[in-house]
Amino acid sequence: MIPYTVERRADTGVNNVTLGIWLFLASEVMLFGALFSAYALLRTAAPSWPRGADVLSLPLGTANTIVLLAMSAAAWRARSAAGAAVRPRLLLSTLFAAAFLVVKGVEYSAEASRGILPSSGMFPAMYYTLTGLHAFHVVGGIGANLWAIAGATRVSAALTAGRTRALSLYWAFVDIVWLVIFGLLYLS
Amino acid sequence: MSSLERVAEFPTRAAAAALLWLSAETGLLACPVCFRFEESAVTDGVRLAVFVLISVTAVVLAGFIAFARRVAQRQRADP
Repeated sequence: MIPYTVERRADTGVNNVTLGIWLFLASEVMLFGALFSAYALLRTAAPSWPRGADVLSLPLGTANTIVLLAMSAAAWRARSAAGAAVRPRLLLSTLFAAAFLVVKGVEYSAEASRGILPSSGMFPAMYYTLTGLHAFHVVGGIGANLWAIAGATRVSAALTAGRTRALSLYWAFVDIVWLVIFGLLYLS
Repeated sequence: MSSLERVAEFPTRAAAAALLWLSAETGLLACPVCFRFEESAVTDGVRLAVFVLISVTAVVLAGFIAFARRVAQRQRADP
């Protein structure tokens, strides 16, 4: 059984929470890596590929990029807070993440009304797959944020610090994935 | 030698084995029935896709190897 500890382990130099989140992120990199590989195949093999800015809303995509960077910054700043003091910063991060989903929903709705659906072609199929999976990760992150916020007054400061550190790493990963998606789909 | 030290030495041994194997091989030819010689966009796409996937896998594996080396170093420093 893996001990539920918050101290750094002598053998790894990190605590179990940090090691666990890094292992999880490694598996996530493989998941998105496979999808980016599929994107490379489909795009290179396609006889024609539209410019992202011609099909998608570049202003909404840019706005979402800024919102997501702000969300990640708020989560990162929560690392420097202690105990229950992480709550307002994690809450701010959660609000930014929710705003990202709202903007994404507006974007999806506008695209669907223009007949851009996953079945419309290779580009929309990749667009909905990549952004949909990413949005699913944002939903998961919101759930984890709320869980950490709720637990911040009930568990020790050390445990909250571990959770906050793990969350900030997760959000940084979600940010990086979005930047790659934004570059591949909106800017090229 | 502990199991951790063996893990840490794995990249060196793997690289040496790969060099030996490459120097022994005279060439590998893909079957032209399965891999036609004609160059097409699909061929380029598959090449790029494989390159992307191998690159991502290499980065993740490098992370695991770095972590194993770090654990081995810590063990050597404080056995």
